[in-house]
Amino acid sequence: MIRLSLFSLLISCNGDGLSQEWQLDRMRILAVRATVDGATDPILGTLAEARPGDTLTFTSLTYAPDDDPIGGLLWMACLPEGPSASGCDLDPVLPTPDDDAPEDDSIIGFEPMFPPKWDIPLTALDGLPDSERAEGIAGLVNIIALPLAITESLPSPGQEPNPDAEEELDPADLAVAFKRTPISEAETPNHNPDIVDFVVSGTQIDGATGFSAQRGHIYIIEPLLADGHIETYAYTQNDGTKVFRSEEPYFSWYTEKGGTEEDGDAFFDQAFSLHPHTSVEWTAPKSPGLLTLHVVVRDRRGGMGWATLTVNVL
Amino acid sequence: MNPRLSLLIAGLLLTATKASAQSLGDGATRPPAEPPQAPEALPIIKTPTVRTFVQAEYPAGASAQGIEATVRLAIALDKTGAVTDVRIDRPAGHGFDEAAIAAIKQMHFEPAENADGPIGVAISFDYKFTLSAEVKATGPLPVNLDGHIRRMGDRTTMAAVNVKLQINGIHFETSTDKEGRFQFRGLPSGMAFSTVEAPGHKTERQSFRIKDGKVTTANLWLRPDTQFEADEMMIIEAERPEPDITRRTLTAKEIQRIPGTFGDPVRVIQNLPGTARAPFGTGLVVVRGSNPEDTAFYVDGIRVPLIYHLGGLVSIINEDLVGSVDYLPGGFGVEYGRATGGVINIRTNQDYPENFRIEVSADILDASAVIKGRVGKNKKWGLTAAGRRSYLDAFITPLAGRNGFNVKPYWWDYQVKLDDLEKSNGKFSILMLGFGDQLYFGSPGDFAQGTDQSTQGDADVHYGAHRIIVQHNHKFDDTITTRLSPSLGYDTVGFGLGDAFSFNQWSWIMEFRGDVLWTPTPWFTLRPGLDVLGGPYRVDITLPFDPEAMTTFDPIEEREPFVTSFDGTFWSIDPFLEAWLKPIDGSDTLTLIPGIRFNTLVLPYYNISSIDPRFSVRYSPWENTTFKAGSGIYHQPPQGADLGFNETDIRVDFERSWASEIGVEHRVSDAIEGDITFFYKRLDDLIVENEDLQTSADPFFVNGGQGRVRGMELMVRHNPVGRFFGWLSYTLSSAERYKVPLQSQRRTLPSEADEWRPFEYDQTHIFVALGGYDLPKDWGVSSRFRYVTGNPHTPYDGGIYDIDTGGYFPYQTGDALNERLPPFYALDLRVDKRYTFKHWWLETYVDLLNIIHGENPEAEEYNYDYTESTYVQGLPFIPSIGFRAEYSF
Repeated sequence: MIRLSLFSLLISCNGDGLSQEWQLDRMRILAVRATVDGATDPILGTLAEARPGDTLTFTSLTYAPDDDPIGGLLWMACLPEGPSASGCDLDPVLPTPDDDAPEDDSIIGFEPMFPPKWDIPLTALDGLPDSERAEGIAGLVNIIALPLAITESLPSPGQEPNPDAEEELDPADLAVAFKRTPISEAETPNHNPDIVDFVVSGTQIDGATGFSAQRGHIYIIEPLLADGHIETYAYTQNDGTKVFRSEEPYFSWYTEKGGTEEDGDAFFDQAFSLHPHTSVEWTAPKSPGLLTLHVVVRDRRGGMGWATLTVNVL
Repeated sequence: MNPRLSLLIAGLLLTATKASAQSLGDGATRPPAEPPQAPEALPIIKTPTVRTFVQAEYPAGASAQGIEATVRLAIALDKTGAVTDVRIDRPAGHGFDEAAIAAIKQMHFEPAENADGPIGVAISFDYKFTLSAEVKATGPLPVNLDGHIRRMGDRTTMAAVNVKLQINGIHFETSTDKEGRFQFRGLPSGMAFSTVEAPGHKTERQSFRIKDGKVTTANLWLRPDTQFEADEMMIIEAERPEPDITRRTLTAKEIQRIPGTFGDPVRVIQNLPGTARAPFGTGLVVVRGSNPEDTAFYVDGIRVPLIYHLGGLVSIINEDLVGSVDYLPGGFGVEYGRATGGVINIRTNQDYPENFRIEVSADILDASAVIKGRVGKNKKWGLTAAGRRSYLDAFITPLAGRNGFNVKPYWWDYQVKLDDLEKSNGKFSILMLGFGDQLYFGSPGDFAQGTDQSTQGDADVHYGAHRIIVQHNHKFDDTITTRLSPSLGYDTVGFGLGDAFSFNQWSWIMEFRGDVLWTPTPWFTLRPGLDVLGGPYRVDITLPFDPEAMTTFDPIEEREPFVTSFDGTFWSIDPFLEAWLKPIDGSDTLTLIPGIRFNTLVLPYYNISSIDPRFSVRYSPWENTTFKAGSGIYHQPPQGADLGFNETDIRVDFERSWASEIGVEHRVSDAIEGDITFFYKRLDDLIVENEDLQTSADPFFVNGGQGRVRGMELMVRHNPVGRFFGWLSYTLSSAERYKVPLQSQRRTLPSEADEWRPFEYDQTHIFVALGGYDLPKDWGVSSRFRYVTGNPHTPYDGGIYDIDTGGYFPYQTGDALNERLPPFYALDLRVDKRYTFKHWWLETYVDLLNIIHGENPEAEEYNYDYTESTYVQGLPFIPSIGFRAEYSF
């Protein structure tokens, strides 16, 4: 009947043919982790939430195809200018190899020349009522991944900058991302979660060791966080009462050689898994070879971690 | 048999003139009663008289039945007195007409004369057949054929139907009485061959054996000649109320045979000018560039929250109750308000069969039943009861694919109506109706619906409404008529997602609509009226965050659940006043309609008001041509979420529309008519999210948006005269918005802030051509072709990765909605067949949608990072089959 057909169509609009989020086939920034220098807790891990005057360093998980590698990562940071601000003014002056440090104040790093490092201004929380300083603000960090083809076109040491360089940058050739970095005087500041192991179809696996998989078989993969890395923290409600909350982390999954079910390649049943149901179903590809799975964990408070699992498909 | 004939000349009319004498050959086509009035005519000084009388043969069948009759004829005479033409003016049947004509043609008259001498004239006289005294003396012969005629399918008795009989070469004739009965007396024995003819039905031929001394019984059934002839439903496109309505009437035959509308009279509106094409065939009603929610829906003048069930597939009223549908795309009168788009009013019918009948229909989605008839003493009351329940939820879940997923869409509706059929000076009826819809999505507990913890869990949407509507119209005399319609209703709306989101609203709806028509003179009618809507309500809201405290979306910000409840009573008490002025002799040649409406909205901590002046004019300088124009202000109160979440701090006002139009209607013939209308609509004070929101003290919604719509509507129609019906509909329009956030983004991008942009449903060209043809043997074929410009859309150039959520924000380098989807075109074909039996009928159809395989993209879908896109295709080629049956007791 026609009406059923209408319904069937409405519920079947699933974008067949479009690439999937977990499918690694192009240059991408997958995760960024901010760490406060010199503030690692033996149980909770690295500190992710900074205070004014702290120095934050950043690491990233990126992916690029072998034939189109990343040439550089440009890092910028700023404090929000108002409650509705959602990013930094992206008009950077790229540093050159002749520079000792980036001239542009908003640039906090340009890898591989300048590893990203952000000194949080002492005045970052100025103007904020005392009642809100515990919750603080979110500093903004922008990251741009430039392919090697672009960074190679940048001026070499001693070479005059190309005035047309800006026009040569096509946003479609870049990967652009942004991250919020909490800055506060929190009583229980946030720490980054760490994934230490995996359970693959009931067997605990060391991430570095990886596992062997049969072609086309389905595996249930569950990431394991380090003990204590699902934190309990204090939060002051709007009415002034203090409550304790627990983190509810979630996981994002990525794989190379991914494809659609119809193609017969590897695929996940979903791109995310949420605490406490943290496992996903992964179907191994129908062709043998080595591949890697990546999983990123976010604790919803700005903390982040990741792990990589090597799979030998037999 | 020895009948006696007598001839009476009833009168001599029509003076011969120079002109009329020359046209005597067709003079009989002129009304014989027309008095002599040509200015140059000379007075008749001698009237014609019969010179040679010829006695007509008394029809044997009529004589046997004891029937007498008088046949009125128009006779043309030339200047010699010879009969040149004869025409029946008042037939008598039973063979009398033929006998009279045969006799008159052999007669000769003394010619009429004026001062110039003999002249040709046309005269009118009665030829009277009377039975001889001896025949009368024997009395009527006994009845020996007793019959009854009914229509097949619904068993309606057929009154005033002519029945002809032939036995042994003798012709007999009679007619059925109001109960469909007929009798013949004194028929000779032998085989009788009957012929029954009635308009709209096939000729029925039967044979009987008549035996001496016995009464033969004949139950005859007439088969309807064309499909779906019995019911007349109407779509009325009205730009003004009575008496100056612009009316398009679609018969049930047209409505039920338009491919793709499922026979639903409300969906047919989407094939009329001014209505945009709804995506995916849903029931969104986008009228003249207004948002779907800006069009108001009514049943018998009482507002209902929506007109379609889930997905727009089925309307909330069973089609058997629909008498007409008023479709007012704009420029409507002051009796309607609270809407800046259009108005659709379903009027229930008062059509009740003599015998109870039940109609049952079922398909893979739902089943419905209607029972209709007359009850009470003398069958004073007409009663209709109808109900529908879907069962799609029973088998759609297996189609969802993965274990643990659960999709349950279902709907139901009911209607009960009681009509006083004996109220002669007005109308009294009680209508109860209700509907409920629910859409439930269940998912496995380990399935991640996005990354936000608060969006996990099962989703459920449900809503419903009930109404009791009383209509009482009373005509006191020729000058005063009152129309009162009180109503009581109950509405519910609910939404839930997991434990984090829930919204539930309950409200009692009290509504009153009434007006008085005071017509002291034919040229002046005053119409004061009152439109009241209101009642108590309660709203419970649970959200995972405080919507008004959040100035920007920050996924790592700590949230506090937001729980609020509020209740109160809202009232909208809107008086209106309208005048109908007909300054040219009180006729419809020129009608001026000024009107004014006062709008209010009163909530516990909030009240607003506005005034709508409106004016329209219709001018018909020629019988078949009408020029029309109108202009007016329309205000629409804030709706639902527009009021925000804090009932003590509502800062939005009415939205406003200023709509104007001008056009002309022309009727070429009974079959063909057309009209063209140009319209312009300006929208102001549209309620939008506050893009300058900085703190929680700032209003969340403001009256900051604008819009403009201009266009032309053209319709040429072939009415269902004969075996063909169809129309061509074309709309050319442009609809734009200014400082209105895109529906997909909920905020205006800075680059769009000072630019007019296209309306999301702006469709420059909308062309519909459709037609149907009745084939022999109750077959029918119909087809529809549509071409519609694609909707505007915004092409994205890529996405920016939000590392804290794992999702992407799209970015664009061009203006919003700066591209259009490819045009929509589709050709649909439908073939119908009706089977009619004595007690019931069965309709079947095959509907072939999009037989030319138009791809018809409905939207552009992107991948996760907005670097790839594909079109979401519209409906492909779809064949379908449907059935409907009705049984009469």
